Amino acid sequence: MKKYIIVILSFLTLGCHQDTINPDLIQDYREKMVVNAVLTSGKPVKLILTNSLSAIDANGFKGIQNADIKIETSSVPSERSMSYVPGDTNYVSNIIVNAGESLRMKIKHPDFNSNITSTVAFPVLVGAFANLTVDGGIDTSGLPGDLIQVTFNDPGNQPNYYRLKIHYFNQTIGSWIPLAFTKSDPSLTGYNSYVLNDASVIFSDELFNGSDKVISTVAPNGLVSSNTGDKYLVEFSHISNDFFEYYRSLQRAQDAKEISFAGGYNNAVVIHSNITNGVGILATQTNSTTILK
Amino acid sequence: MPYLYMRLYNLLSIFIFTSQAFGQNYTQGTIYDQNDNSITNVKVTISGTKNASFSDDNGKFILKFYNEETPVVFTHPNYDTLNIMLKPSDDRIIYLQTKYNTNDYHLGFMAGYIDFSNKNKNKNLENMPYFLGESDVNRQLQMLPGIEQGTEGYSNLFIRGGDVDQNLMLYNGTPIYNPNHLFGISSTFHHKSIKNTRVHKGLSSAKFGGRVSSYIELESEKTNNYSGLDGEFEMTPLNAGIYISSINNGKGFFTLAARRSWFDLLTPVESRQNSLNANIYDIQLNFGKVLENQDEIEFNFMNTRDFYFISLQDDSTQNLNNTRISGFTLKWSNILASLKYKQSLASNLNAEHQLYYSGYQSSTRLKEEIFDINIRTVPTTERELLRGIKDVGVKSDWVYQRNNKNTLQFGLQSSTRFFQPGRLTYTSVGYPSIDDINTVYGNEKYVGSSEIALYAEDRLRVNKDLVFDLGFRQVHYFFDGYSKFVFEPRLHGTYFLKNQDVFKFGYNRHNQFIGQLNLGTTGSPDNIWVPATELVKPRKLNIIEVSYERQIGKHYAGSLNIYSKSMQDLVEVSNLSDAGDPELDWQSSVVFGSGRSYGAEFFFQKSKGDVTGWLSYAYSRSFRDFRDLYDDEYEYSFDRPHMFKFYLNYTNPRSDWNFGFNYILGSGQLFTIPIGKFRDIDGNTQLEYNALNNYRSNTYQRFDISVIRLNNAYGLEQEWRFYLYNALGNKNPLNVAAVFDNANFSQVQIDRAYLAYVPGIAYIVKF
Repeated sequence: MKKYIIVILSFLTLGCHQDTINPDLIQDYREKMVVNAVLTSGKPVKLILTNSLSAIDANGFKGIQNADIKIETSSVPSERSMSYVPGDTNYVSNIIVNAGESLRMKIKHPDFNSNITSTVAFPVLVGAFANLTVDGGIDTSGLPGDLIQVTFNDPGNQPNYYRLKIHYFNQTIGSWIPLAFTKSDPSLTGYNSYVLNDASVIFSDELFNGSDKVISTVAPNGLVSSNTGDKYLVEFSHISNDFFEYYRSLQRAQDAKEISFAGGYNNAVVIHSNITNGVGILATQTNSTTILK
Repeated sequence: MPYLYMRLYNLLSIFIFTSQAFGQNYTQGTIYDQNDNSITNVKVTISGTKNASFSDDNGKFILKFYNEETPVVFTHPNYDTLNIMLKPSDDRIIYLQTKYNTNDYHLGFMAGYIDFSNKNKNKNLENMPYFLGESDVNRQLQMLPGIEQGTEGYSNLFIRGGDVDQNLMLYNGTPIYNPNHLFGISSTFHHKSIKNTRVHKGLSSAKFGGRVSSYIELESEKTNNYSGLDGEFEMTPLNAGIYISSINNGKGFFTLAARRSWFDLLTPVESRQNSLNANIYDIQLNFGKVLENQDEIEFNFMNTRDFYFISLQDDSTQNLNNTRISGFTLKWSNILASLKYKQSLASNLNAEHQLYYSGYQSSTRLKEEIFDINIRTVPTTERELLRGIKDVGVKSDWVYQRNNKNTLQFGLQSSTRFFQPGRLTYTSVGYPSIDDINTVYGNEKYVGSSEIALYAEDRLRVNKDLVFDLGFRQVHYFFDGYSKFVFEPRLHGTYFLKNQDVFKFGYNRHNQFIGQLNLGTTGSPDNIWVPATELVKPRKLNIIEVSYERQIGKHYAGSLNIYSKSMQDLVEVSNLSDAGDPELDWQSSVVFGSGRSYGAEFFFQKSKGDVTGWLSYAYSRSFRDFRDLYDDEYEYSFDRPHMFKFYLNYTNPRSDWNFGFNYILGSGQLFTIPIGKFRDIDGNTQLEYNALNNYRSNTYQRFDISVIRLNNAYGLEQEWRFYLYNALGNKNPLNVAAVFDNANFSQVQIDRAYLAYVPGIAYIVKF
């Protein structure tokens, strides 16, 4: 009987063929400058420059040196240079940009024909603070757990984006460990909030625009009950739209990698960028950090 | 609110019956040519008066008059004038004699409409080349301008830049929710069970609603040139099929079409039950009867199923006392049933009522059994995922001829749908030290939605050259507290020109309250039907279209259609794995956007003689705008700007050999491939896509051949049909995909799969 099956399957598959192609789109690919930076208000500007490669290039990425980087801010509207740190791919500047200000960056490099530019704004302060109520909530196992609440004032009439990352202090090893965030707040829905791989959550204010907002989470029972000093570190950031879109696209790309079959553009994710004539991200944020004891 | 519609409907009914009581005499009938093709726009006049009416798109006419018996004149430029005496309340079939070698191309119907019995007739579609030898109504449609197959080799229909779930496919008026066998390679319809296919590619009358791309009506055989028993048996590489029809013209009909795959039957029963099995079947049963009062009753039934099973035995532990057997089963099925009642309440008032059920269900089941000599039970775990939709509908469609200038269509249509986006059942029994488990995840029950539509449309004949179809469709939708009213205008004009040509124009709005989440492959049973919700709004379409049609010479006809569509609230899946996870809310894994399409379709056909066929060229563009997927508008996956199609068939009644050819030349399909890679802010490697659908594959070219050998043996007509798909071997990609050596994308290769020289064969015996 096996021969019948073989004959039929052969018949059906007779017309199926496969080959490997090298599309012009990839052959003609020209390297781009990759700009990566998370700029925090009140801290010096620092960024990393690398190159991109053709999809079929087996070489590794290189750091870019000799770039002429000029930046200007809304408070100091004159161009100032960033300097390269040898041995590293970092470019640094002592310029500090405050919350609510904007920054314009222009990069020239002989290997890249066009100027690479980007203009970003730093989000405003939202008066964020955090509270701890020991055993003030019920954890996912139904046991009492520490209730951590973050309160902030969401600016109205504009879309805002936030990132929340909570750590707990492991007294045994003496370091901060990220706490897996449980999305229990009804305004953090599947389509406007994402838990990233580093256990932080990014979300938009779509469902509470212009309101005073409290985000709560409950730590597992007994997590830091033996801690004598620091218990939790709450990093709350008001982030730019580009920051949100960039991390959201990274997360989608990560999810898509887990799907092995071809799903059209469903598993091809365009990573968000705000770099003109290049790729990467100039993400901005305004941070507030609280240690809860 | 449904009560409001019922009251309105009752009021309309009262109005109509009241008007009937005061009505005058009418005579009616249907006008055909000698080949039983209906004739549109025939002027029907009471002799010596100005009292005139015109036949509609289906050749039907109704004429109001007052005398007992009246001389009536039937005139049409292409047909001999007929004078006959008609009585009041007559219902006559009128045959007109075609003038010598007159072009009988049907100029009627709305812009964008096409079918295989009036607009594009006599094309011997049974001789068309078919993929793998399976005669398929969808592949006939794919040869028309503006209708594309999507992925190479598949039987899907993408119409004017719309998605597959935006087509409403109606089998004898009942919607079918998965018209695919074999994951989309073949349609579920036995070709003989479809007598006529009608496609509304955008504009439609108010009678049709609920989809934003097209309405496809598939009608089974109900009349024939002669009464009697007919049938055929068919054998293809995939299926064995039978078709039986018993038509008693004017009294009733019975048709039965059934197919089943046969190759699995060659394997032993034990093997099918324990290791490997795959089979498909479909059955269509239709029965109709004309009652004594000339009302008609009709029953339709359809059932399809795909079944795939594979079992693997794991004895890698080398422990012969312990064997694990895992079985994977995938199946999906449709069940359709409908009851129709057509009644003629008066000579100028007809109604058709239909009650239908359409259910579609898919299931995947993974079962693992452990056979251990040391355990008295057989520890078994089973995981079954069920998805589906059930639709219970009621339609009541009425046609009222108010006078010779106004024909009113109106009705009420209700569809109550029940959705099951995913129900995962996990059971574990027979483990010695573990309690039995029976847990249900996801949606335990089907959830219901309601869609009720009230429509009305007036066909207003302004004069002998100008006709307007002016209508509306008011729809109320309800799902889980979300309630929505939508108003849909349906406007259309037809202007008959002087040279046997016609100009048409129209505007429509359509709303769609149901959609299918595409989890990777169109036509896959994994795709999930879901309702419109508070968050996932109904899809909307606005379309305008103009067309010009012309009879050319004595044998040819041509048409040019130009359309523009805009679509809002479209839905795309943004996370395939989450959308398919029944434990998660599917609404969290979709994104929203808009789309637009425009195009021009040129169609040229020949319907007479031994050589018939058509050629068409479509210039069409389609775009999508999903800002959550990409920062700019991008070309739709099945956007193909240029598409030239040519179908030619040679059918000589005096020859034992017939031939069919398909030739398609057009723009390649779009795929998304990575062009580069870069390091992200966390130091991981990311692929760079400059846009979605950024790679257009090589020019699409396909030439298919069919050769039909007719034979007569033992008093039975027999046919051998031989097919070759893509006979030129052009590398039309089935898929283009990047293949990576590891998650860091250090080595990437772009592979292309394609179909070429695919043979097919079919053997048919007619009785």
